[in-house]
Amino acid sequence: MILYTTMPQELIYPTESESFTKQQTVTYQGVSLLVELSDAQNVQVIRILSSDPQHYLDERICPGTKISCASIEGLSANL
Amino acid sequence: MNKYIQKGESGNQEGQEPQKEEKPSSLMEKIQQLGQTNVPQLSSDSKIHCLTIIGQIEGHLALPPQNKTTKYEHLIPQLVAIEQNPKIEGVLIILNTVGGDVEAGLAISEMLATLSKPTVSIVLGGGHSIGVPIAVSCDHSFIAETATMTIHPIRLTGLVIGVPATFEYLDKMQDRVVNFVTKHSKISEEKFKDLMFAKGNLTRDIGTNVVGPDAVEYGLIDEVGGLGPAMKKLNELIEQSKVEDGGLIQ
Repeated sequence: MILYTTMPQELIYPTESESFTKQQTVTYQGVSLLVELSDAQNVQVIRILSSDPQHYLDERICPGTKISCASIEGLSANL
Repeated sequence: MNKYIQKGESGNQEGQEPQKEEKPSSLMEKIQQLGQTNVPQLSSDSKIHCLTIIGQIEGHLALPPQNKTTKYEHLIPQLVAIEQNPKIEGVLIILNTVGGDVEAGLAISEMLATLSKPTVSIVLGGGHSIGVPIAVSCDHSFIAETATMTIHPIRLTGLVIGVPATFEYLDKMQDRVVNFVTKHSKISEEKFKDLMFAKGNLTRDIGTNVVGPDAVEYGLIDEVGGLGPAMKKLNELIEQSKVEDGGLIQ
């Protein structure tokens, strides 16, 4: 099937809301992070949302690091 | 690669206490997670902050998580914080964007243009469509030699809010972009529109793909260069603004 349309793909095929809830923005150690649930207890850092270059050098929050949900305020309540 | 590192690590530990073998070191954990380790951290606060405009500039519709996006609800509070924090002296903007929402892009551009601290932008890879006003909004703009910028007319692939006369609305919207770019760069309106409506450059479309040195030649971008020259320029601008501030106090 080929659709000839000017409409964006997201409008024609909406993504499941599940994929949106998988990623969340949290604040950890004073830095905003985009995290993804990796397992029941941990989240994995996807992206650092900060303009301070020093935050990108902090090894506790570098992308790929696993952070336990208990250490992030407000997140454990959602799980 | 992970396997090799693991092997090497356990080989080193042979002579050491067995306790360590059960619990891998934090360094090893890190290598397994991402395949890289970190550079040592500097202790001092950075006086230059860096904003990255990457992927697609997100408008009113939240894009699915697999899209790499720049969200204005993230960027604008950061810009407000940068403006208010006296410790931050300058901002470096790194662009590698395919464009996106016109109004979100213009919002970011206006915020950058009105920021009182020195701003320098670098276009790396691509700064297409609405990335153009963002690049020119800074005090000084750089483009990498291999980077490109696509200049093309606004087109309707999304939603336009409450429009009775769509064509006129789009025309007006385009004028907003053209006016912003011509006001904040050395390019003339005529030249910018020429590039925008040029035929034969893009496949079955009008517009121009401008590569690094050409963008400088047209007056769109100030200089060809990368990180080093951009930092040097930013430090110069910071020094200048300090001198001006000092003059005002006296």
